[in-house]
Amino acid sequence: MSTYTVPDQDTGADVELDVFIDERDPERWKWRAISIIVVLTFLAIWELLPRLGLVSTIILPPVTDVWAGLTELVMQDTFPRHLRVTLVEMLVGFLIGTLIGFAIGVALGVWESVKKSVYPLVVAFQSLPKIVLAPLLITWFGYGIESKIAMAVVIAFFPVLINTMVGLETVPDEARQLMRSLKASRGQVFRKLSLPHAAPFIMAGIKTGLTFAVIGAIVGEFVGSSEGLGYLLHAYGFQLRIDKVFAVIVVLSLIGAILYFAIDWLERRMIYWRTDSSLV
Amino acid sequence: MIRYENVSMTYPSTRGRPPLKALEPVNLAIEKGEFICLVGPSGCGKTTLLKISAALLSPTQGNVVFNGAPLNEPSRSIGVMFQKPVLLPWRTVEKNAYLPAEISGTMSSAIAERVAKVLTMVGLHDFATALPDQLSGGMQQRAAMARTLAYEPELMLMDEPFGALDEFTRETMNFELSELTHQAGITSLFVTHNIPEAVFLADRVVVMSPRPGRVSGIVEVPFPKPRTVDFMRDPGFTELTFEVRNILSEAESSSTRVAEEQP
Repeated sequence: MSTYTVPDQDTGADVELDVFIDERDPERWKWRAISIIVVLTFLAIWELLPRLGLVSTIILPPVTDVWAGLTELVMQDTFPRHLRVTLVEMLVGFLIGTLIGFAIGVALGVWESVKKSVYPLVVAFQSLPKIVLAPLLITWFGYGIESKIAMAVVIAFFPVLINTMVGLETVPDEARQLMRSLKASRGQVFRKLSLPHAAPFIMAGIKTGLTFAVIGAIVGEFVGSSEGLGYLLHAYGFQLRIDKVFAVIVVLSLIGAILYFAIDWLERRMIYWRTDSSLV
Repeated sequence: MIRYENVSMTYPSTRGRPPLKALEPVNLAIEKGEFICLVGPSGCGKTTLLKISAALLSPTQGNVVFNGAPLNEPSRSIGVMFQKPVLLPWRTVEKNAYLPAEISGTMSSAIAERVAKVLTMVGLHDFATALPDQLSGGMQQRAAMARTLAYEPELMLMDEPFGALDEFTRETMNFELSELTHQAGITSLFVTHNIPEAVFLADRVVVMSPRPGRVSGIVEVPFPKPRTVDFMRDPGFTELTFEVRNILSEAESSSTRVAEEQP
């Protein structure tokens, strides 16, 4: 149901009408079709440019070659191992990063004194381009999976931290006063007001953190590793197997998309209320 | 029920601005079951006095005595309605009304029954499981009213609760509020800057002067309750609104004089 403001036929004054209508765009099929055509056109150009000799196939292999490279890649015995390694790095890094970000975010958002003393350090850390830490982390944690997890943690925790802190700090004053007038304890204020209020912010931070964790794991593998999809990408690049490079990129985009949609689904389940509401 | 003894409030200076005197000493006693409306121009300290009554602010000087004891912290016998409905958007109307009981740890099936009854009283029976953002502004404020009524406060403090509503809804809400508080025998302190609204609701209208606020007059409204739209047609109603208006403009002009006399 939505409210529409229409001018009254007699007086011309604005009248609000509550109406039930199908709010989906009636032209949605048209636009869906157009977007598919755009994608197909893009793929066709990709196919034709190298086929017509306009671009070297070493620089840009045709789509069909990439497809062949992709099937070859996933059939390889070693592929499941590389895939597993990278997935573990991303997900473990993401989980640890989210927990750390949440914990520090809560501490900063709840205790003013913690924020005053720790926040400058947090900001200083954030202004650091964290990619530069990759060689250091490999020195500390070795060539294995641990250094990649560390890399994912280091860049994934920050958006969760900031959003948790901001979410907890933006609880409206009126709502705090209501809780005070009801004699709520600090714990009750946190559980029943601050945390649910911050939830949409935190979820948005977690979504960004997930994307960042994917980047962290791959970058870690670039810098030094012997397995994983980032390692494969790097190795195929050196071998000039550009079709395989594209194939790995396709796999990585698929992973990224699947993870993103999973968390997006979770978000829509958890945040079922309108967050732009001016109620509190 | 509640008594103000020389209650005054000065907000401390912030960021180089001088301290702000919001309330001159206020003396007032509100009897059990009375409906008091507090009227006055914007910034006259009405809201300050209301927050002091809820113990959300402590006065710089003076005492508030509630049920014979000094009021030092918020009390579960005092319910507050704010200018905004302040509903938690993730909770249904019903669960918003459970909130006070949940917080005091007294949630029970009896409370659930009472909430259902109160929601029916305020006309939200069919919206118990709706989320607040599915309701209109008037319905949201009704839900807030239900939340306050459901825990049966002895004293209800209301800070322009219907200020954001359109005139029609506001009038309907006033009729309902008058009836509900009268039935339940709840003592009420209602802040507004709408004079007819104040006269309609109140047993006594307390008129405040511009900042720093003080009580510049009290107008008794000796008409039986619950009141209906007929009361608004009574010549006595109009007379009382003029009386309140006169006190307001006198207070205003005298405070301007004071301001002009200052160097």
